[in-house]
Amino acid sequence: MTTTNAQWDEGSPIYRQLRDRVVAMILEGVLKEGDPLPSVRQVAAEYRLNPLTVLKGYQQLVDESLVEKRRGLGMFVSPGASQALLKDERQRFLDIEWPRVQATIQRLGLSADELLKPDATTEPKT
Amino acid sequence: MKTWVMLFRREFWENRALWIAPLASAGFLLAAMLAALLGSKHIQVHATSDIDMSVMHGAMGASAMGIAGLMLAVASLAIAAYLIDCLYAERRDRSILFWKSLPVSDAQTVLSKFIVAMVIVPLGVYVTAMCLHLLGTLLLLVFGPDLPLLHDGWSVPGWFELQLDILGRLVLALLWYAPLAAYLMLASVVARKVPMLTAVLPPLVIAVAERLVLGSSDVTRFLIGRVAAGPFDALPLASPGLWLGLVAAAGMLLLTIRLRRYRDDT
Amino acid sequence: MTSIITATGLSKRYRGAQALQDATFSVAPGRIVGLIGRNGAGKTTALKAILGLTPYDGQLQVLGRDPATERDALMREVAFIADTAVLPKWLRVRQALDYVEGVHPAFERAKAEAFLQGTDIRPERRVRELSKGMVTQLHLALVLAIRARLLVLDEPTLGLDLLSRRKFYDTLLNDYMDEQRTILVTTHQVEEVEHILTDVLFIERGRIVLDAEVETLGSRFLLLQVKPEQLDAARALQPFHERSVFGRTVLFYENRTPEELAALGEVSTPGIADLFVARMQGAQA
Repeated sequence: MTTTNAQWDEGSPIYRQLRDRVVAMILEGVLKEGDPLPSVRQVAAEYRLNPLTVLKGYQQLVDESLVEKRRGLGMFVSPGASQALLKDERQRFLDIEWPRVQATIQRLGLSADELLKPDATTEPKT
Repeated sequence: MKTWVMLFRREFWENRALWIAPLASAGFLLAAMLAALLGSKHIQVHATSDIDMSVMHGAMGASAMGIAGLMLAVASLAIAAYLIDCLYAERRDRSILFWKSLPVSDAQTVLSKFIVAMVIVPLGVYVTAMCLHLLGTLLLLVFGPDLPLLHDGWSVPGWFELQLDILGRLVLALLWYAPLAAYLMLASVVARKVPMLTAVLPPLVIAVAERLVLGSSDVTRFLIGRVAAGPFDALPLASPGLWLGLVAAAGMLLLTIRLRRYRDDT
Repeated sequence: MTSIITATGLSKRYRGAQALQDATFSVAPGRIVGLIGRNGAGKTTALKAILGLTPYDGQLQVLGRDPATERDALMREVAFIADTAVLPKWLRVRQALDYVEGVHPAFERAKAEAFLQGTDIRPERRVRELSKGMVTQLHLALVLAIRARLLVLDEPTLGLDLLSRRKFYDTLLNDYMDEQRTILVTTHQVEEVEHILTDVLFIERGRIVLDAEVETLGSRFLLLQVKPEQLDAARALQPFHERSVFGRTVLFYENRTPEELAALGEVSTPGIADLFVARMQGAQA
């Protein structure tokens, strides 16, 4: 009978966090394409959440085409979901994170060899 | 309109006797006709010049009425049984809670059952009887003993006139029996246990009470008269009894609708 | 937002018993409300009044209509299952679909057929040939395919095995995503629905004894598993119910803060089922 509110961030809405958890599970391969998601009732019960919150989170996943609803059967991971997510992650990395890293590399004056060597200890170029 | 058609279909889904009984009686009559036809082949018919035209007409009329009469008699038993159960069955099996969960008004429910009993089944039986008579006549013409008078005596307008006459009598009979039908439906909506009893008891009690208290049996005779008129008695359209009966029928139907409103499975 | 159901002073007397007594409550749109009470507490009477199946005293508005006088219009926008055993035994599955399609303007046959797709229910079979669980599935399929703003369920899983019950609520919630209806469900089996409800209405002897959103229950009610030495101090804080389980005492409080109780033992939020039992037994004492 303990509250499990501690699991959720104060920062973003719970349905969003729920969505993020499912996304993480898909990316990690815990949830594969065609796998059923736990029912809304189960999630609401286990995490003590408002069922409408869970529904909202699931709806988010449906809107993003990551999960599909099969009438009378439940929610299932869409085919191609993990590819789509991977593609998104890669795009985000290339568009946002990589340029940042690139800028840092340039600022520090590191060369490709140094970066690719597994345990490189570098000396600043003199 | 779509709703009404569905309501009528539903009555026939639930009460198969309504169409099985007429079909069975039709089948029986067809078999009887064929048997008679086969038997008649062995009968020699002599010179027919002395057979009266009116006798032929009479025979045709009698056979038509006979077929229709028999089929309607069987059908009325099925109809009476249907009426007395129609608003009780849904409470007995609790399905009333399903019917009432859909947007069909009590008026629609009651009236659709009344229409099935007093319009659809009787007219269906009438059409079947008509077809059966036609079939019988044709079979007789083609396969029966050669009666030249038969060919002459039979005419299309004459046949139609006959069927219309039967239809007219049927409609009158339906009007005459409308209050009885409404009464049976009322009994079926009121009944808590056995609708048959609920229907039979009040007139029985009235008849006995009248005898004991007033020493007369006028009411009893009136009630019997209402029930025992045959479908082909020549009932005048102007008879006040007919119209008062219709008023009573309307009143009983309205009461039935009101009572069904708050009926549930208790 | 206008409420879906508003009841004010709703009362109903059957011969000898007051089934509903001055019941006042409202149901907001988009909520999943549980009307929870013991057998005979008045749940079914309340539903019958809401559905226009019984006359009542007091005021009642459902979807802006008065069920007593506008029942026929109301039935176009309300779908209900009054117990799953009411589908007529002689009806074939195909006929059931035909019938609802023929009489209900808002019925989407394709939807119902999609629901039945994943089951063993064949169109030519009669209701009497189906198992209890299948009859429930059929009834639910019919009802969920109706575009109704309010869905009323009266003990919908009575007599069903556990799996069928779970499947029922799973299907209900899954479908809810598309329809955003308001759902009113009555039950005396609280554990079954406590995780799918957004609001609760406790009813006892015809009166509404609790009307709350589930999310607020945590701040309103607290459960304390008290340390034995703190029992007297705990009792001094006026719990409304007390219970002993395997020697440990559990106390229920209303409108106390966790801080007040923290030192006395383990504090948590009671589940709806626990709360219901505690409230009912507390009311008796």
